[in-house]
Amino acid sequence: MVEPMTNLKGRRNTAIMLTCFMVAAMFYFNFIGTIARLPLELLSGLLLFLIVVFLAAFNSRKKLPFLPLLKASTWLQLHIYVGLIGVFLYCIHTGFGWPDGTLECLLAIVFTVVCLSGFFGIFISRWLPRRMQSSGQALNYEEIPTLRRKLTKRTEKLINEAAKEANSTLLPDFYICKLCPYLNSRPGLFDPLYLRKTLQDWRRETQAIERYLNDTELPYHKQLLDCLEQKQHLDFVESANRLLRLWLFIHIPFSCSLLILGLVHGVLAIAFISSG
Amino acid sequence: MNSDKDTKVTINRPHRWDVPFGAEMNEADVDRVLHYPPFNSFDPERFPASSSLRDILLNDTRIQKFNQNDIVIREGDYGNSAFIVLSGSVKVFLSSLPQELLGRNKPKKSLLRSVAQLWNRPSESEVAQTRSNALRGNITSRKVGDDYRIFLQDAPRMLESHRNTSIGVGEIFGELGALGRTPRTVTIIAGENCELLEIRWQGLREFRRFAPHWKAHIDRVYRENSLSSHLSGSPLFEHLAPEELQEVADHTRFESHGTFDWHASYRKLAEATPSERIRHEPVIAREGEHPDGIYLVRNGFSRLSKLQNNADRTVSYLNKGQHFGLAEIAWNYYTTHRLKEKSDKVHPYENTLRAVGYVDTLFIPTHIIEDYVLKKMEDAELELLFSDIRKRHEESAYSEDGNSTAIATDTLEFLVENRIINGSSTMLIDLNRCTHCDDCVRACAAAHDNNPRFIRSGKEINGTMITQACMHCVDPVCIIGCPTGAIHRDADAGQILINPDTCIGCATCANSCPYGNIKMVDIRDTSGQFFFDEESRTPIQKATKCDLCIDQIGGPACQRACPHDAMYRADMQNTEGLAAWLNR
Repeated sequence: MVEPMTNLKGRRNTAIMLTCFMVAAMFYFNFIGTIARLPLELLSGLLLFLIVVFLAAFNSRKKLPFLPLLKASTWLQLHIYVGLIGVFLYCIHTGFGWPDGTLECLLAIVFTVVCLSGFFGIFISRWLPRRMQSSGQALNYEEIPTLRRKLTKRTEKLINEAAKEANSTLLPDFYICKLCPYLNSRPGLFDPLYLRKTLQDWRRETQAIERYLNDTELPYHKQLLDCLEQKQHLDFVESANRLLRLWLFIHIPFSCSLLILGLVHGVLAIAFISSG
Repeated sequence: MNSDKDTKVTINRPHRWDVPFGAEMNEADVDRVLHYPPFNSFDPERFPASSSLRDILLNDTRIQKFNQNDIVIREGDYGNSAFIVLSGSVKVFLSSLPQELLGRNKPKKSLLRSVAQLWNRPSESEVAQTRSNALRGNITSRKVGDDYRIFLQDAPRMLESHRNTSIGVGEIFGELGALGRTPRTVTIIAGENCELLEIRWQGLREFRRFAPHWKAHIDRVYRENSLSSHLSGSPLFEHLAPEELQEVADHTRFESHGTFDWHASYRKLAEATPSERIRHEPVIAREGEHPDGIYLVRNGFSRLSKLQNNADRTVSYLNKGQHFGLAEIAWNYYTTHRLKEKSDKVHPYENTLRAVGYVDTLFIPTHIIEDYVLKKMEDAELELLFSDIRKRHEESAYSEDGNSTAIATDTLEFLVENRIINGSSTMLIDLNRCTHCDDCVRACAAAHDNNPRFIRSGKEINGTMITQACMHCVDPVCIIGCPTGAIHRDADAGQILINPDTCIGCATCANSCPYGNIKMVDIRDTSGQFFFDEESRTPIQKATKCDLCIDQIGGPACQRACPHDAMYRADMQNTEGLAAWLNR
C-alpha cells in the first residue's frame, strides 16, 4: 500500500524516491551532455530553473483551491523535497563556490535568502504550533488587541479594588512602575524564539513585594499573576502569528525575483554559449 | 423598603400549550375533527385530565389548506408532523421525482466554470444570484398565514409519467417519518384543493401513549413497512430466511428514549456539570442488570458508560445500526451451552446504555437471539463476539485500551457530551499542526464567491479544535421546521444543503442548529445594494453554511487547502478512522 506523503513513513519513502530519481536524472543529463558535447552547467542550470518554476507553482495552487490539483499538504512536502534537491543542484551548478559576476552574485544572494527563509519557515511552521498549543487556548490573531485591552482593564480594576480595600498604595505603585508599561506593550517579533521576560521572571519580581502585602491584598496579588500569565499567552500567540506570516513576505517576493533573475541569467548564458 | 418587589417580576410558569401548534384551531374544529377516524374510535377516558384528547387536538394539531398541486411532503425532507385528510385528496408519487423539480439541483461546475470563478466573483459579499426565483418574483412559493406553500411545477405531466396513488378522506400519512425522525420516503402533493389536519410529533406521541390501538396501528405499519428490511440490513440477521426474519420481527419491541426535540435543551444543558448532564440522559439498560436482550440502535445516539467509583466513565458511543448487549448474551450462551464445564452464572450487562438526546431502539429478547443467531454460530465465531469481555476481565479498571474506540477517555466524554458525535463531516483542526495561516478560510471563500462558510474557532479538546462549520449531522435537527424545504439532505451524497432560491430567511434552521453553525446574512444585488422587504422595510436574509463544496469539482476546498495536514473532516460514526487521526 502506498503511504500518504504526509506521514513520517510516506515522507521518508518519497524523499528516497525523489533523491534516486534526481540522481538518475543527473547521470542521464551528464550522459546526454557528454554525447551532445553540452556543458553540465547548462543542463544543471536548466534543471534548476525548472525546479524553481515548480516550487513557485505552489503559490499558484493556493489561488486555485477549488480545482482538484492534489492536496496542499502534498504540494508542501514536494516543495520541501524538490527545494532540497534544488539546493544540491545549485551547489553542483556553482561548483560549490561563490560566483564572481555581478548578476550571478545577485542571483546567489537571492537564492540564499530564498533558501534560508524557506528553512526558517519550515522550522517555525513545525515548531511554533506546538508551543502555541501548549501555551494556552487557541486565539485568533485579529482578536488579540481586544483581549489585551480587556486584560488591561481587568488588571486596573483589580488594582483599584485592592487599593480601596487595603488602603495601601503598594500594589498600585507596582502597577504604575512595572505592570502598566508591560500590559500595554506589544511583543517583539522574535519573542517566540527568545522571550525577553518569562513568567518566571515576573513571579520573582512579584514575590519581592509579596512579603509586604497584607491578607486583604494577597488574593489580588494572586489574581495579578493570573493576568500576567494571560498577557504572556497573548504576547506569545501574537508574536508567533506575526512570525508565521512575516517570513512569507520575504520568501515569496524573493522567489519571484529569483525566477526573473534566473530567466535573465539563463538567456544570457545560452546567448554566450551560442556566440562562443 | 420592598427590595423583592423592585427586582423581581412574577409571571405564570410557562406551560406546554402556551403556544399552540395552530393559533386558529378552535373548539368547533376539534368537534369536527373528532368525527374523523382514527379519533372517532379513541376513548377520551383513557387520556389523563392534564392532556385530554380535546386539549391535544386543540393545541397539537392544526388545519392546513392546500391548493391543487401544492407540495405537502417532499421526498428526502425531515418532518415532525403527520397529516390526516379532512377533505379532498392527496397524490403520492411512488417513484422519485427529478431533483430539479424539487428545487434541489446543484450540478457540479465544469472545469472552465471553476477557473472562471477567479474573475467572476462579485466584489461585494453575499451577493444573491439574480436567477433566484424568489427575488425575481417568479414565485414558486406563496405565503399562507405564517406558512409557505410550494407547488409542484408541471404536475399533470409528472402525474402522467410517474406511478402514483391517492389518499382520501380520513386516511393518515407521514406518521412514521415524524415519529422516527427519518426522511420522508415519498413526495405527496395535493391532488385537488384539500384540507389536512397536521399533527405535530408531541401529539402523535400522546396518541400513541393513550390510544393502544393507535399505537398498535403505528407499530403494525412499521413492522409491515420497515422492520423486516431494517433487521435484514443488520449483519446479525442477514443470513436468516424470510420466515425466520419474520419470527424475529414479531418478537422485536420498538422503543423510543430521550427527548425528540433535544436541540431545544442542548444549549442549557451544555452549561451544566458533567454529572448533571449524564443524569438527564435516560437509562435504557443499566450495568449489572440481567441481559434480557439486545438493543439495536435504529436512530439517534446513545452513550455507553461504566461506573467508576461514584462517576460514570464513557467508554464508547453507539449510533445507527450498532447494538448493545450481544457480547454478554453470547458469553452466557457459550458458558451454559457450549462449555464442557457448564456454568449457571449469568454475566450481566457490562455497561450502562443511555439515550443521548433522542434514540430509537429495537429490543430483541435473549431467547430469540440465542435461537436464531447464536445457535447457528461456530465456537470460533462466538468467541469473537465476547472476546472484548475476556479482554476487559484481564485489564485494570481504568485503562485506555479498554476503550473499544481507542479514543482518549476525556476526548470521548467531550465528544458525547457536546453531541459532536452527531457529525458526519465534522471539521477538526489539529492545533499542534495549525499555523493559523487561514489558507482553509481563504479556500472556502474562494469556492463560495468570496464568502467563507465557517469560522476558524470553536471548542477545544486535547489539542483538537472542533471548528464552527456545519457538521452535516446524522440527526439534522436544522431541517425540521423549514417551511419551504430549502434546507435538505442531498439525496446522493447525504450533505445538508440550503437552496438559496427557496430559502425565505425565516432563521428556523439557524435557531434550531444546536452548534450555531448556520448563519443568517443580509443579501445584496450585484451592485452591492442590500435587498429590503417591501412591506416591513427590513433586510432580506438568507441562511448560509458549509455545503462541503458540493458544486466544486475538487470537493471540499478547506481540507485540501491545508498545507500542514492539520484539518480533517471527520465522520464521527467511523470511530476507527477518527481514532487513527487523533492518535496519528
